[in-house]
Amino acid sequence: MAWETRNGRKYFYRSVHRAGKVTKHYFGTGLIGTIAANTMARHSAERRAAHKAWKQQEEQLDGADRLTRAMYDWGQLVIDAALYASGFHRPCRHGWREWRRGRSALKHYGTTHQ
Amino acid sequence: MDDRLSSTTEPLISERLRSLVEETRQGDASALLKLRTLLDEHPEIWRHAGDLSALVENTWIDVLAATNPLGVESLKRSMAEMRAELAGESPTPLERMLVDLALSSWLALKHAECMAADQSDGPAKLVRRRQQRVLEAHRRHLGAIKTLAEVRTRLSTGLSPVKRVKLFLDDDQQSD
Repeated sequence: MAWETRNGRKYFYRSVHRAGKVTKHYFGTGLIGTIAANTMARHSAERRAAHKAWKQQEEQLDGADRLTRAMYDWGQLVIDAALYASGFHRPCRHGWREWRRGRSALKHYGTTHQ
Repeated sequence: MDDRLSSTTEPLISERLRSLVEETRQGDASALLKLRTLLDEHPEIWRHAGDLSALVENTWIDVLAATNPLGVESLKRSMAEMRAELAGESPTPLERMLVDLALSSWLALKHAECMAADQSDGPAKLVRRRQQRVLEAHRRHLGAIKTLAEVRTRLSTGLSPVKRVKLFLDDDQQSD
């Protein structure tokens, strides 16, 4: 977007890139050009403000996501520990199953899951 | 937000816990005794889980309050009801932790769905990020519910709700 002077008159135009070519779209001179320039400037400012608001929102959500992931990771670690300690195991990432070798090791501890 | 995460540092024995779980996962039965001892003698393991889940819950409620302040009170009441229903009368520390996980992931999922449903224009990259967030939150929530149901099935020590965690109603209950 810019103003171009020709024969002493200022014209407001916008450059458009399409199919590798750049063309100029002229909006007019005087009041019409001024209105077009102001409208485009306002739209541009609104887009920038919206983008900034989106980015701030995403940063806040990313922070909340990091916290949720940390909770989930710790929770998963403790769940695995508790299930192993109760005499279960998860062979080849299948569901949790009773672990005979684990249970006989736990018998020495004095408490096993019945 | 990063300040909140740094305020809940992992317990000092977290590395020990991780290595014992990994040794057990590899099939080392002797690590089981040490793991059992660690869980029994270090209640900070469970406390840290409780601290994290309270922090996550408050964080998501703050995020939701920014877009819908009037709905926050109703949300808190819904969560209290869901917690009571899922946990039962005398949940074990593991069950309490799993219920917290399920509720926190539910909050995150609800927020992600609301954001993704917003059809307003935005950068394409951020729109895709919102959709991805819904999928991640959904997977986490289902995982938490599934693990709660599995733990209730496997570990019947202590008092637990008579009714199992149900995802679907039976035919006779649907007519109610």
